[in-house]
Amino acid sequence: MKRLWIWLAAMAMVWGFSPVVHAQTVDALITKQAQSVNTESLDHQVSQLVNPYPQVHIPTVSQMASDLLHRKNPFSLQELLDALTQAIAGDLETEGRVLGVIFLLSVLAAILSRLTESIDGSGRVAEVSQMVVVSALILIALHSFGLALSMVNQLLTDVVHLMESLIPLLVVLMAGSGAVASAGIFHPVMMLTVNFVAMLTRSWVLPLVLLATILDLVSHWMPNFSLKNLALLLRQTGLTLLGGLMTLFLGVMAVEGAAGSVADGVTLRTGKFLANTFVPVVGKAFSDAMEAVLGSSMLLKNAVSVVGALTIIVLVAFPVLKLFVMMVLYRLGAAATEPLGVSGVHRTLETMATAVGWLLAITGSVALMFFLMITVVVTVSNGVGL
Amino acid sequence: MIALIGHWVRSLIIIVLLGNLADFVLPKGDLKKYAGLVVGLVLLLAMVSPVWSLIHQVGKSPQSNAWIGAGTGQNLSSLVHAEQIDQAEAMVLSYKNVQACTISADTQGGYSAVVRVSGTTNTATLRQYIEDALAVTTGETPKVHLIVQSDQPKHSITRYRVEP
Repeated sequence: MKRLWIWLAAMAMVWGFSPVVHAQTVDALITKQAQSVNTESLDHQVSQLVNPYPQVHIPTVSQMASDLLHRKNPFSLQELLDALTQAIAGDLETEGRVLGVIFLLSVLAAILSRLTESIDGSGRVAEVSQMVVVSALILIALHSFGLALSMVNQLLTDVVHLMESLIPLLVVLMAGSGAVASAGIFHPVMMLTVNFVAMLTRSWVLPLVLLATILDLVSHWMPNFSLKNLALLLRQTGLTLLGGLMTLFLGVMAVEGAAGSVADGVTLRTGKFLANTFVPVVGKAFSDAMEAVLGSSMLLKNAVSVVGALTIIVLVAFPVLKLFVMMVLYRLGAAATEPLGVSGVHRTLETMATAVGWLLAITGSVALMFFLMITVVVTVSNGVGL
Repeated sequence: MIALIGHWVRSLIIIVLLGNLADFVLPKGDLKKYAGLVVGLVLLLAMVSPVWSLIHQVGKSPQSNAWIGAGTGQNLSSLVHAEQIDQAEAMVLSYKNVQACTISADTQGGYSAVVRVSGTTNTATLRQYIEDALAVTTGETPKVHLIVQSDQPKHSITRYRVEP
């Protein structure tokens, strides 16, 4: 009888004191983790940035985490596509109006030059009339180019704000999911790279492209003394800067990622092995609990990064689409005005199309860099492997 | 820098516009050809002169100043020296019974050290220790003028000097 009592007491102690995870559901674990990390500021920032596009709805971080857990689709692609189609229609309308004015001007110039050719033979008046038309055209074109440039500038500012509110949260969750070395390496590097890329693009690449475009336009306007090669030099400088920046960025990201993930993998495996082997009875339960906590933190981290990547996609998609529409319309205008025989007009339109194309390339590559940064960070710390 | 490039390009554009205007206004003939030549020369000059002066500037100024900025060389070496002395102080603090230590460079190339010890110490070995520490950090073999302050519980602070 006494022996039975002792045995029961021993069982009760083992059952009561062992740090077993009390059959906690993953759901509860996730919600606990989501509550422990403050994601409100990120959600607020995201909703503020997406505010100009009311049709698109980006889920909050905790919503995203639970959707990912329950294998639901967190983001409706249909919504985004609908909004993009609407935006294309609006852009076509506004830019098409500009193109209509340009067509009218070039037709008038063509009629004027034919008329003056038949009236006086010297051709000076035709030259002057052509110059007047081209200058009006350049005014219109520069106005729309300025709008595009300020749009790109605003986009860069927005994306940098997003990254600045995303990175600290991401790094905290990275450290929480066991990737301590990666978090330590990535945080300063990412902050530095984001600000460096944005600064260099905003204060060097975009102004150089703007100057090159202006020089090109002046060369079309006043063809006697042409500065086309200077424009080429400035544009090449700006784009080389961007290309070098991108190469540097990708190299740094690859090296840092490799170093961090190796160090983290070693640390985590050692910790698990130690807990398993040297903590006598409950070691296995202990390492299992550790694994569960780290895994749920990883899910939350992936939710944060998916929200960040989605926001970047939405923010970049609309301006890029607008720039693309502009480029196509300018090319169309250049193709249509060429047979009219007013030489300055179609060259100006062609220059504008090329310039908008460069803006498109710059925007795309900067957005790609930020996007890659998020994905690289996530895949690196996912690869830690428990 | 980008502002300078902007100014440069603006002045070039203005010259091109004026040249074209002159080209329009002038009557056909020999004068027009010469005017074109002159405008072209002015344009060349305006384009090349900032680049020329930039190259000149870079060539003239010494390499270190061009990149670090003027006058930092002196500051850097004094900073390094102060850091070396601080490290020597930290080494002296690891000596037995030493509680505080300040080393300062005096005018004739030597150092004076003020050391506070608790209990008794052999001043000769302490001085040797300080000299060795300075030799390790600064790389020279200096003379040390040692002032030991002992705060033994029995008598109040006694100061005695050990001449080198």
